[in-house]
Parts: sequence; C-alpha cells; structure tokens
Amino acid sequence: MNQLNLKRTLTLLILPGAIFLLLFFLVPLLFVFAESFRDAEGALTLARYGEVLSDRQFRHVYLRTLKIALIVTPLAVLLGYPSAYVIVRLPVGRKSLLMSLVILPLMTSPVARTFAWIVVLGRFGIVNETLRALRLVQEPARLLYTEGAIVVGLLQLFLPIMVLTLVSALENVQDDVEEAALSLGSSRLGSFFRVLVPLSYDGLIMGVTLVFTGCITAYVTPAILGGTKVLTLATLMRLESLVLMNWEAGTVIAVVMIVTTLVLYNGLRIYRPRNL
Amino acid sequence: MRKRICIASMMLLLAAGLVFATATAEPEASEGSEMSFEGQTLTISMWGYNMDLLEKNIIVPFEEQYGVEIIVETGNNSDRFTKMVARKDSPLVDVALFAGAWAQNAVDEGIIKPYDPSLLTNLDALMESAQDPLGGQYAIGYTIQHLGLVYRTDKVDEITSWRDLSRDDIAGFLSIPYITTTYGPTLIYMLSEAWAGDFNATDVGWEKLEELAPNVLTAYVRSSELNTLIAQEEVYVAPYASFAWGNIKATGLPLKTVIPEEGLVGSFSMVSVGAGTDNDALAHLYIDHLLSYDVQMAEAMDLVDSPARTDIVLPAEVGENLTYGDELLSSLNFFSQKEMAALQEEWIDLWNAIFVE
Repeated sequence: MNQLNLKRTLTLLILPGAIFLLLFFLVPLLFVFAESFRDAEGALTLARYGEVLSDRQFRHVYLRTLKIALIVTPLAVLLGYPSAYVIVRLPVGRKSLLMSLVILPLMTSPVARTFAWIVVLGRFGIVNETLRALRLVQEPARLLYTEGAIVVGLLQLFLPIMVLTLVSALENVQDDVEEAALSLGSSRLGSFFRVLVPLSYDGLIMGVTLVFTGCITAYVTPAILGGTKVLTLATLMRLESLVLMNWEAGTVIAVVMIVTTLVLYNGLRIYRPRNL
Repeated sequence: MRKRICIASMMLLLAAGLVFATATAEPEASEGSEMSFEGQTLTISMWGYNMDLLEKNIIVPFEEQYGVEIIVETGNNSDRFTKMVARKDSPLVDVALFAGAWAQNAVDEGIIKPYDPSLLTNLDALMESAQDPLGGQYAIGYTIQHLGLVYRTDKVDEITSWRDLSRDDIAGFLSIPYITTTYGPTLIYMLSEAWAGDFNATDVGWEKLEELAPNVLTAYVRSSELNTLIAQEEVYVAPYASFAWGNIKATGLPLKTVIPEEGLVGSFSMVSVGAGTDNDALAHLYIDHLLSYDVQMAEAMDLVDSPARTDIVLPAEVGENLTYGDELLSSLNFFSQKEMAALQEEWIDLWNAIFVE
C-alpha cells in the first residue's frame, strides 16, 4: 500500500467516529459554550459568569468537588500503579483473569454499585459491624451522606479505569529496560520511579485526566452517597437546570467543569516534571 | 277484520321491533365510540412510586376497557415538569399529574390546560375542595394526602409537636423532605406555626430550620429514599408523605404515626389535561377513570392513594393508614400552591444557604 492509499484508508476508518463525535459531542458542547456567553437578548456578555462565580454557594460546592477529585485521583494512582505493575508481569492466563476482575465492576451499573455502598457503609453495614466487633467504636459511626462516602464510592468507580490505562501504558515498556536499570545499580523502587514511571507518563496523564474528570462530573455517586446535604458540581448543575430552570447557570457550571479538566490535563502535559 | 287486526298487530310488532332496535342501537353506538379509541396511545406523566399497584388498579383496567396503550413517563415533579416545559412546542403528554407548587408552575408555564367538566361524570363525587384546587379548572385533586410524622417507638421518646424535630435525642436520625419536593416548603410553614403560632411567620420557620439542620441526616427527594432510610435504620424520625405509609409500615419496624398539636399538612395530588394533547376525549376519559369509584376504592384498599371521593367507605384497619377519617382530615392545614410557587426560587436559596454551606 503506498503512502497516499494508506492515508486515504486511515481517513476513511476515522471518518465515521469523527463525524459521530462532531455531531453528538462537539456541536452540542459548542452550543453550551456559546450559550454561556449570551444574555437573554442574545448579546455577548460575561455577566452570567460573574453571577455564578461570585455566588458563595457555588464557590463552596466547587471547592468541595475539587477537593474530592484531588483526594480520589492520587489515591487511584497509588492503588492503580502497583496493581497495573503486577498485572503486566503475570503470565498470560493469570493476567487475563486479573484483567477480567478489573473490568468486572465496569460491567455493573453505577447505580447498583453505589447502592451496594449504602449497604456497606450503613449504620448496620459491614464496616460498622466490623468496627464494633473489633471494639473500635461503641456506637455505629456516621459514614453515609458524608464527603468520605463520596470519596470511597468514586474511588471504587474509577480505580478500574486508572488500572486499565496504566496496564496499557506499562505494556509498552520493554521488560529489559527495568532489568538494565537494576543491572546498573538502581534499586527496584528507584527503577520504578526513575524508569517505569517516566516511560509510562503519558498513560498516567491519561488515567489521571479520566479519573479527575470523572470525579468532577460524576452525578449518581455524589447524589446517592452524599445525599442532598453534600452537593457537588454535577448535583448543583442538575438543581440549577432541571429544578430551577436556570439553564444559564447550568451552562456556566458545565463550562467550569470542562475548563477545570482542561487546565489539569494541559497542566500535566506542559509542566512535565524535569526528570520525567 | 281479522286480516286488518293481523296487519295492525304486525305493524305494532314491527314498530316495537324498531323501537327495541333503536334502544339497543344507542349502547352499540356508545360502544362504537369507545371502540374508536382502539389502538390509540395515551401518554401519562406521573410519579413512579408504587408503579406495580398503579398499573394493576388504574392503567391495565383502562387499557383493557378501551383497547388503548398507555405510555407512562415517570419521575418526580421537577424532572417531569422540566421535560414538559422543554418540549412545550411539540408536546407529548396527554395527561399530567403534579402536586404542590409544581401544579401551579405547570399552569404558569402553560403546559396544562383547563379540563372540560362536562366530560367528567365523576367530578361531582369528589370533595368540593378537590374539584378545582388551583382555580380556573386547571387541575383536579384525585387523591388527598398529608405530610405525617412518623417515629421509632423503641429509639426515641414520644413525638407530640413539630418542635420535637429539634430535640437532641434525634440528632443525626432525622430526615426531612427536600425543599423542591411537594412537602419541602410546607415544613417551613409548620415550623413557623410550631414556634411562632403563625403559619405565615416564615422568618421564624427558616430560623428554626437552621437550628435543627444539624439533626438532619439527609433530606430526601423521593419517598422511596425515605423508605430505604427507615428500613436500614438510618432514620428514626421523619415527616413522610402519606402515600408512602404502606411501604414504610411494611418494614415491620416499631413505628408510630402521630397527629402533632399543630396539626398536619394536607394537599392534593392533581391530574390535568396536557396543554398540547391531540386526544382530548381520551385524556378526559382517563381522568374520569382515575376518579371512578372502583379505581379510588382499589387504590385505597392497597394503601396507595387516599380517596378524594366522598362516597368511599373504608374498613377501619385500612382507613387508619390513609388520609381518611374525621379526626385526621380536620387536623390538616392546606397552603396556597400559588404562594409556594412564587416563593420557590427564594426558598431554595435560603435552603442552600443552610444545608450546602
């Protein structure tokens, strides 16, 4: 196949997906973006941003959402890297088994998974019963309807995504690179941080972005595990758009979500640590 | 002469036959008009709570009687309201069920239209206040409900007043209806009455809500959520919507309902004709079916909806679980849906200032 034919074939293969994304993702997104800069008469304005961003409740909810995302994402990295490292190094059969186990939670509904947490974290759930059996608490601890419950729920929800992304990144790192580092005197930990992490950094960025974005935009988990007292950006956006019919505020919140994610993604790409 | 008598008799027989035929032709025509709905669809926007029983008592009998298909769009008031407003230019809903301020919002947004009383044979059988609760014949209260108070008798001391919601012994075990639900705003009125002796002293109501906020574990958006909270023993005290009592009671926990000294909140769930329906006759037929004796009785016996009809007589063991009986009905306080609709945005802000921060 000559160069021209290859290009044409690749274009043809990409085209259906690209058209789908253009029509059903980019165009609506642009509408939302454009709408957030218009007033009731259709004139360009930043007034909506002023109104939403200066609102104390919004700032409170935004900082809470950011805090939750900034807790869940590093935890997913910490738990995901060792798992991915082990999975990549397993023989094919066991690797497939473990990969299936990682994928399994993704094949169940987030609603079902989140409801399971209600049972686990409830006053008479497994966690509280264990704490009481170990005599660590006298009375059942309040675990549900807290930020902690949302963190746990989101971590369970997004950890498989982080593991899958890191597995894919680490699979592209040749085995002998680590061996070379070890033979040159590096410790296992040193070779992990100074060789494996830099070589899988792009996968890490992707995993971090996916988990962080998921945390910022998740609706079901915060709504069920946080209840109505612990609002996050997504639950606030629903309240503004679907209850108060304040679509203007809803669009601004949507744009704030997108911008926050883009800032993180590009920040990680641009400010790549020097030794990576 | 005999021949003439014979002919006259034949003529009389023929005439009688014609009269009989005409008389029997009327119901056939009527059946024919019912048959004309055969194969049509009717879209109902309603709540999903107790859907299995609603299907059994209301939807399936109607479908079978008229040979139509009912498409149900379920959700809470706000979700369904928003959907209907978003589709205002190409409406899909023929019959809409709303409660509280949402019914008034639906009138204001023009997504429901006045009903035609001449098409509703069961309208006069309803309580007078249920026949046109919003004015302008926009809605009919097909079921009466109340916001009751329930508590766990084995976990907390007796509850006798709305003031008890601020008691220290229920801290962390209280759930209240979210401000956007039918009964959310009415809680403020009851707190105002409890502490200031005036339903309209809502400044006091809000002040007190802020004081009792630490007691609130979470505010529920759907009655099914409250059901789960009670079943899992997360909540010991809660104001509850009466239509949820059947399921709450089924948890088997030691629960007691009370009529507090300030009384309870009463309201109607309302049914209306969708503004853009192209099936006016069938929509009215469905509403009339909802108001019929059989449906109201079946719903009451299953502890789903309390009857708005005045001619329903229930066994004591059923009636005590519903919004039924002189003692309970006389304790009910009804509030202006128009006022609540007007205050909604301001009150959501006040609520968020207390609970979000």
